[in-house]
Amino acid sequence: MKIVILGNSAAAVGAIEEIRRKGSSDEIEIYSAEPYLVYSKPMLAHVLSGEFGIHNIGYRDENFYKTFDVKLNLSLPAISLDVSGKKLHFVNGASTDYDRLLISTGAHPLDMQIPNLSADNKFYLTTIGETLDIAKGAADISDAVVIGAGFIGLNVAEALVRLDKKVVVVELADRILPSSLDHRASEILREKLEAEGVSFRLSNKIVSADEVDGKLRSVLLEDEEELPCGLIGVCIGVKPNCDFARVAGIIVNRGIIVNERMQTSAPDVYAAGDVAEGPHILIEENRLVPNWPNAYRQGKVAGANMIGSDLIFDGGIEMNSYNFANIPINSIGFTAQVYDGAEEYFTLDYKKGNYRKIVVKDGKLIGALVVGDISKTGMIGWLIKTKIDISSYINEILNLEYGLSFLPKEVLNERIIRY
Amino acid sequence: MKSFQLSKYKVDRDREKCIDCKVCVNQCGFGVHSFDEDFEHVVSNDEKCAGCSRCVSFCPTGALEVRRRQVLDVGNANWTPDVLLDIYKQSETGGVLLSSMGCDLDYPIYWDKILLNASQVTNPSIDPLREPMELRTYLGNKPDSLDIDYSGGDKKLKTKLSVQLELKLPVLFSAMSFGAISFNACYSLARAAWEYGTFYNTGEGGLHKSLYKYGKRTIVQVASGRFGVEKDYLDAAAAVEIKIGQGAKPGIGGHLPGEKVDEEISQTRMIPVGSDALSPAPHHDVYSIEDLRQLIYAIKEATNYEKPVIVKIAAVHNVAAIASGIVRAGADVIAIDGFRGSTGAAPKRIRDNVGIPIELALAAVDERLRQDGIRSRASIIAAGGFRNSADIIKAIALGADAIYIGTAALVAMGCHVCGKCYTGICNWGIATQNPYLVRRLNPEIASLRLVNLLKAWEHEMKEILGGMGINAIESLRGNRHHLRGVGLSQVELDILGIRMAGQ
Amino acid sequence: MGCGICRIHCALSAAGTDDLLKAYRLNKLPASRIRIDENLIDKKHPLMFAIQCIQCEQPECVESCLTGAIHKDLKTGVVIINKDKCIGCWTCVLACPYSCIFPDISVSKRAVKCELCLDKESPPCVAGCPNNALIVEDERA
Repeated sequence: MKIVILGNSAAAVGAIEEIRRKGSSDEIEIYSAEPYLVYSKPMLAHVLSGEFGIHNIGYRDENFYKTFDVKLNLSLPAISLDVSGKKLHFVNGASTDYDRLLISTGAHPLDMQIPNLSADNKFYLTTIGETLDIAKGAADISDAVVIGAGFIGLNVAEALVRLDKKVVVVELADRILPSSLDHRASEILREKLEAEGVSFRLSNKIVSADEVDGKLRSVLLEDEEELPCGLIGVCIGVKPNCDFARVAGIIVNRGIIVNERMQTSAPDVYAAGDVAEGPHILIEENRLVPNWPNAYRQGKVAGANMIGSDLIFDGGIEMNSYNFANIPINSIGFTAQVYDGAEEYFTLDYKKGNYRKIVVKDGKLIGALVVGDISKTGMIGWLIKTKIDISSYINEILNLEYGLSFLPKEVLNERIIRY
Repeated sequence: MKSFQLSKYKVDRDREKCIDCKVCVNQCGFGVHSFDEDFEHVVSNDEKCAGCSRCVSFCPTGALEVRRRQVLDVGNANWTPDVLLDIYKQSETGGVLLSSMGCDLDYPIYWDKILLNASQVTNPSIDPLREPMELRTYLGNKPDSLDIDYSGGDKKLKTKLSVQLELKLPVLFSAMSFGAISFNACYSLARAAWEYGTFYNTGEGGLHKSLYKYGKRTIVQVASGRFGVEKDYLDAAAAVEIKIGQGAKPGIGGHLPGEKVDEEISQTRMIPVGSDALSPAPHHDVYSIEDLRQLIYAIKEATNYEKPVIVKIAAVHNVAAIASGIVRAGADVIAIDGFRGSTGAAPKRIRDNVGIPIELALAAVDERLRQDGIRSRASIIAAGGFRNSADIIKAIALGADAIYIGTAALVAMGCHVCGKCYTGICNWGIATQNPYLVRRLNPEIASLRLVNLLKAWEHEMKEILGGMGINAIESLRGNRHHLRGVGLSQVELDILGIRMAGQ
Repeated sequence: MGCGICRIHCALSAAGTDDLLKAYRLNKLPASRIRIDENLIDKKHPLMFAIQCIQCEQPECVESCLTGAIHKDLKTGVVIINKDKCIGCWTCVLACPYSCIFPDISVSKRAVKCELCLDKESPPCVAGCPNNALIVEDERA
């Protein structure tokens, strides 16, 4: 049987490792639009700051494809998909058949149109290519503006600060990392980032730019402040690379719709990773869950099902871990806003920078946000995923007294065999 | 009212060595140490310190020191600070002062005034590494003479021998009840007795169901409260001990507070959960020596004469006469508990002032039984503050067949004799029923420590005996010629039946 | 019994020195790879144990690692973190259902976990437990 994978990132690796782990020796071919062996996208910020080179950010070692018996085709983006004929066509005219197809093409950065801002002065950070561009662009400028205070935005900001640039981050929302942090957590982190040299303009946006001879001089904000800058980092989010799937007739919403076996609406076609809109652990609807662990796991489930080994995906969940300004932050589940029908419990020591919040609905945890001391967050994440009733232990969870020893004997025995 | 009580212990923390690891915080059951969030380091509250040294032992950097302090430097030679503090306490509470472990007053320790002989020239010493040394001891009624049938070639013994307890070493574990000590401690004693080859005693706590399998090495006690006494209890045991008195608190009964009576204790002692376990002072069916004889034989009948019956008494003034009566009443073994014996809880004044030293009691009893011509009818077990193998040798020379160790066994398991057993808090997991503390006593380790202690004493005793030119413990028993006294008055020498060193 | 001395032995051994005081004062004492888990709510049935990474068959940490720094050694079964690839993002800390991966914030600034001390005769936590509560067994029979 021939398995073809479009895309060469976390989901692809998840699929490959699961297929081989299950003992299948089916033929696997990867087609990637980029010219690189699979690399860790979260490490791109470390490339920008100079800590790592582009060849030491491999997600697996150089022998990976050989060891796992995978035929790798680089720099070959696909342009169309024939679902009934089970055929893929590539940009150079080549084509290939498949018995099973996994679409894990990821997502591309959203662009922003700003009056008087040319494309040359807009930079992104989602691929090695984009990283090399922004590194080059940053070389002879001293001030930068980043649009978007999300994960990638703050990554760019911190990396540029390490390169001794002055950085201002402009964000539409009234807090930083708005999809995972609430106001309290945002305040703690913002203060520390400001001490590091990152400035913020929250609840704000850029209305126009000022370029002279193609060189960016400054941008103008909505409240009429003018910020001098030589480059703009556009980090306002990503959009799944699923247009060609839509054109092929596969059901697409914001991403490619998949069921709990990662199957799309087309027979023998699967999707996983940032491009897929799949089941969620906590809610009964499909969602885009663009995080690395989710991509790997979806790839693993797709891989198993592609070779006929039935594996059900328990569902994705928002899961983020940050270390900006050396402040550990873990967030999992629904943490950023106040949710209908849920109660929030928290402890806050602003001086020490410790914040612990849990969100509970019907006696079960649906979110946890921890800043500073991230002890036992893993256990809390597990409680969220397994939906165990913790209504009698809210205090213990908040003040770090909770442990595996609170679980009922049967659960403990099952999970920690010897005890 | 304002209390004049002051902490008797001072906790010193060397800040240069303290790494704020908080082990002392979680190990102190008295709540002395805590982590102060504002100072961000561990602080200690001397007021609660019991002086048990758990924190000192467990500190990974040796940063802690706990010592007695001269908390009041007032009074005079008669009105010492301790005396004053006792009166302050009673004025504040109106209560009886409670205490644990053994007598804390400075009475003479006669073992330290008795010296042993050694062989030289005329009676050569024996090398214990080359010659067999017999330490094996049998406890029970011995016949006055042996009738042997020489006819038919093979010699046959006609005299019927009473049942004996066989010990590898003349040392047994003394009575410590489940309730006064933890289950893990009882289990450790049972296992060590089983593995080494001696016996342990249930005390008045009854026998826990899971310890029945060590029955062949168990002496069960029938005390005045009769806790746990029923058919299976007697059937399981190797011997039955009737407790008339205890060295630490002669004349009064026992008391286990209701808080320490949980489900396990309730089942083992056969009393309701949460009720105080009070043992009355006398056995209410023993008011004369004839009553005692009746009880002894009732037990013998109930156990089919298959188990020796021991009678335990405290060493008091007329102990010799009492002992003689008990032997005539039919006891196979008589156990005498001197005033240095320990206890889980007793009024301080009784622990410190009632009873007489085991050294004098033992000598008096042995002498009296010999004079009465009944010495072989019962074996003597001496008890009350035996600390080492030298004490044991001296006791046997004074006439004991074997000795009980109580305190020494607990110390082997980790006890630091802080004397706070009556609070129910024991950081070593020994004298407590609190499950959080009890788990600190790992029976695998504790029983190994007990066996090691016995093995060590076994070797030491063999060395001492060899040095004395003796190769069997039998030859030492009652052999007072091997002892000399030093710093003793003539009366003391006479009672002990030994001569002055130099004579 | 919840004393936590295993944590001290673990941290000291990971610091690569015998001198506990020196390591502590020079801030070279890394995070312990073993922790105490205790439930003291029911006074009649307190439960406590030391717990370290149980070297899962399908480790969540391996699947969640953003840089591919964690892998399971197929010969020994030990799940190992490659210090050179770990960037200290703490995603694995959030992923481990047993909370047995720890952020070593003070010394290496990377995630750390129990790797069974296979290079030592006996793991320091096992040898140092005052109550013999920890045992190590080789299951590759």
